[in-house]
Amino acid sequence: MKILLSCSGGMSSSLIATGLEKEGKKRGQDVIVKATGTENVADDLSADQYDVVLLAPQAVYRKQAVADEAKDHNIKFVMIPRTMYNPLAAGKLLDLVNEELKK
Amino acid sequence: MKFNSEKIANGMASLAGNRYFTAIRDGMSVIIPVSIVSSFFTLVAQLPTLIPALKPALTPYLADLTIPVTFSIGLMALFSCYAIAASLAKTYKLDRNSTSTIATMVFLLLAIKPGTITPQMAKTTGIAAGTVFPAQNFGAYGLFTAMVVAILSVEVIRFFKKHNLVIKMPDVIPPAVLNAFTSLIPAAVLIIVAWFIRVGLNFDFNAFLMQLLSPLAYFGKDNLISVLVPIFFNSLFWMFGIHGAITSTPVVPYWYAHLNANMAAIAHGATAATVPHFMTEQFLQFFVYIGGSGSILALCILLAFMSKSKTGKAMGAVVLVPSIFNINEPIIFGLPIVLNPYFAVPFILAPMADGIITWAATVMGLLNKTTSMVPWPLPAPIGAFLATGYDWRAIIVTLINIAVSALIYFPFFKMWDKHQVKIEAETAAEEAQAAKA
Repeated sequence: MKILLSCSGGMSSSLIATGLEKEGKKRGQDVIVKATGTENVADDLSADQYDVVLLAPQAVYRKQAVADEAKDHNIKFVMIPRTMYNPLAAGKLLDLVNEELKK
Repeated sequence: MKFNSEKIANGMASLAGNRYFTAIRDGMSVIIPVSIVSSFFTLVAQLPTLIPALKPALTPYLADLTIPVTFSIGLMALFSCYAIAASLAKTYKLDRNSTSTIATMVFLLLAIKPGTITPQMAKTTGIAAGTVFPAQNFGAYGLFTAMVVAILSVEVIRFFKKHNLVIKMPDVIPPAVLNAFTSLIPAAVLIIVAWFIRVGLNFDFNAFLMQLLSPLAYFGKDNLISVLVPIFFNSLFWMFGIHGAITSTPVVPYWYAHLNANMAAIAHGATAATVPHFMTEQFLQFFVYIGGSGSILALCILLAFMSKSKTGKAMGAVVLVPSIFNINEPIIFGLPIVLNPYFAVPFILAPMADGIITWAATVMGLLNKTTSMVPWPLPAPIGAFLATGYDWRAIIVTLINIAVSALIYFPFFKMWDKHQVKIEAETAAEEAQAAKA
């Protein structure tokens, strides 16, 4: 599974990305996460094939724009709930992503 | 009246998510890398503060060392205008290159008035005869014009495209050429109007805008209010889980103007102690937002070393290192700080206290002013030391600020930790009960 994870500048999302990848490894699930800033989402989606776009809660003001980009590329969009945006909650977040992808 | 946090958060999100605010913020971020790199030249110019023996060797090169600053922060309005227009054009799916180029030209027409050096003047000034551009409005002084022009130009181009007021070309033309022609009519309108305002009416749009926004300048000046107001709003937005930096957008041009003036003063032989301005983004970054907004490193330290609860210990282990590098999202959402009644008060008070301490130290002459732009992920004591032109007292002030913030956070942290211990004990008891049954 290939995830594009966007926060405002791409800094904190890289921490969450590492958490998700570790969690995936633990479960034997192939998870690749790229962390990025919101202004690069469109370019990232055009450059590479992803299964889902996640958006960090502090960048909620970009929700519509990022959701639209995901729709244009025909992939899932998930707004990360506030309680799941920390390295300790990587398990919960991966569960949520898996569930959303099944829908 | 019922307190509806979700509603407030949504309101704040839509304010922060305003298309123009975001375009301005994204656009202005293009100058960060070039400004940081250029700042290292100012750091070299200030090496004699650290090693006095270097003074005779470096003094002749002071002016040369600031050339990169002139071409980075000194041209920031030009760079920002192009990049803001590009960001906004991207959200409207307009061609970025042609749109930005037009916007930049409109900015130049409105903000810069070319002068002429005659052959006689050339003899006295030493500047070659020809057309010259005064430099001031290319930098922070032209920044508001750059923002307004970038947004207006993109809107005009969008309007023309939307109403199909464009020159139609056959499909066989390559897209790049096609884009140039699509922009032809709006470009003509924008350039003629801008030219008419500047030359026909002899109207100084840049001066007018500065005058119009002068009340705002109050929050960008070197006074205590300009320290406290941005901190308050920054913390308030983060309390609702929304990136707080966006709230400073309107005063950022003043902070850059200050930093630019400080760097220019260094070029003329001033030191970080004698430069004119203290209120810069670097001041907030390294003395106030230590560990991230809310001066949160202090709380991370408390969590890591003083927690009695399991939650506190686990959280402390995860958030401490990111916070040393000024990344605060893990604790903001992990603890959480967001909408947490335990931490609302210290999250606002601690950075304000740090702001007051640093302000006081600066006005009493106990601390150098910031003269370089150093990368924000640097740990606060190192960042503060570099940004103030190697002032060792900056390290002391950051350490004092961390201690004061820790004192402010402490009682609230204690209450929270006690509460966590209680919850953990209750859960353990319930689980034991369940296991028995």
